[in-house]
Amino acid sequence: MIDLASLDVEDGLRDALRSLEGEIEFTGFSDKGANGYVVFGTRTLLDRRVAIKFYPWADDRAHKEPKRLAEITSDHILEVATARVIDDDWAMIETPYCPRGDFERLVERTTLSLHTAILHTAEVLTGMSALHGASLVHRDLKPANVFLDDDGRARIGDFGSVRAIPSDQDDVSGSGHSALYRPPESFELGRYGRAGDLYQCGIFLYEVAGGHLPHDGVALLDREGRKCWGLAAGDFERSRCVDEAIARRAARAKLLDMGALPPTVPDRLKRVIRKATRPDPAGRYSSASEFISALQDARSLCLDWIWDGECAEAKLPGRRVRVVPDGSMFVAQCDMGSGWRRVNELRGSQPASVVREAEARYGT
Amino acid sequence: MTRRVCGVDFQGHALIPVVLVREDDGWEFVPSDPTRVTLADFWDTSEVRLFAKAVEAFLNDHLIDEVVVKKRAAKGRYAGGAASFRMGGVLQVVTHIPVRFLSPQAVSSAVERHGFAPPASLHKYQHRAFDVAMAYALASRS
Repeated sequence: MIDLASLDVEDGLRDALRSLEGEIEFTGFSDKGANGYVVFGTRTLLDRRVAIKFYPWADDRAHKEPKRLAEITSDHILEVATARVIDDDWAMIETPYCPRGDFERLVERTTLSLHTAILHTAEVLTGMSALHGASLVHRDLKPANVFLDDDGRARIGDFGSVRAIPSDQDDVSGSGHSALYRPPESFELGRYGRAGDLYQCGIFLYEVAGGHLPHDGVALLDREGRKCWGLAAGDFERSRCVDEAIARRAARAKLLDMGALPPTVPDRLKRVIRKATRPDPAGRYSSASEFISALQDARSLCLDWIWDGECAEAKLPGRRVRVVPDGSMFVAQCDMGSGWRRVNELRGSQPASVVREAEARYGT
Repeated sequence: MTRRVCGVDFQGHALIPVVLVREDDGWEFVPSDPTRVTLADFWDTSEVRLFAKAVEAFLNDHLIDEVVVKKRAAKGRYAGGAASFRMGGVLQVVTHIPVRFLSPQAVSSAVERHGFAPPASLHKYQHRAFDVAMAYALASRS
């Protein structure tokens, strides 16, 4: 149980929470999201765990998003159980709670196999295609806003930044949240369309495939950013220096470090990530389905490797293959049920080259 | 209100989709990417799942109202390949969009009766999917 009186939120939100107390037993609170708050609880009558997103909205625009979201049927979008406008500033959307957590935590705790990372990205893209089909853009797609459901499927959640695209337009205004994931056009033009969501799916793929994005903004400062940081008077200005540095990196396609991906990630998949995150929206995949098609092609050329930071291992029908350090070299080993045996001809100084040679021999 | 039909043909391990949209003056071809969705290994469940996501996303992206598939014989000399039936099964259940089947004879007679031809911009491998989509579209108009 959480004590509503102790929550550091506006009075209007506290009143809204109190009005729900008879139906929901509140168990947790998160202000992690930049665009509102999330409260967790259990609907007592149904014994169903829920997550409620409180998000700011402006009453000078039509509030079409909850209705359109509720109309979407997709295995990869959290269903909207209920929605409510609280006052002129705040609204809420209730969705089921996913106890297996979000992908930000998942990739911190575990390493996904290559095929699993590709499949989850395809699931997110499929959910995104349903959103786009309903003329909605998410605008804040990142691992922290994608959840693993009880059946092991990726589901898009956190609809606080979702916007409806007017029928006579291709885009909407850009969201100012989550600078790391903002596409370049959102910084440069303040506009955001479907291509922006696909850009964010590209970063999602990079992260679930084992790539690291520094969430400490200082690590992303370039020379100009460091100069700006040195002259900044306070936190707000320093934060602006970081956002501007991120914008410059995104515009030059220098945000993601492909060299930091595990050696098991093939060049073909890196090309998919690069194309999805191109600075020019016209150079990205034109649709979620085109993006998935490229993922299929990349998947068909690689084994289902899992990389633990030192060794790579893949399971195949009737055997397992791994690439392990061997002195200053890397060597492949194969287990066909009687233990690991070295494959002496598959050796090299770089794990990536041995991984590719093992693929040529055993798989794809 | 516009209506969109997706014609589907299966070739080897690929599903070939072609999209038509109903405009005021008839049915028009809509260029769409990808032009084929593949299922290389249908014994690999994870790959079948990925194929299903690719199909679902295609139908979502192109706002498809109906899917029409050219029927294949299940046995005999001209029987369709195993992969085509696997892909067809996925297509039937992956969304709630209605999936219809049209016999090759119905497609041929529609081509003969209406004299339509695939747009020049289509690849040759897309022609049969175009034919089945147009045959169904024209038949469902009357």
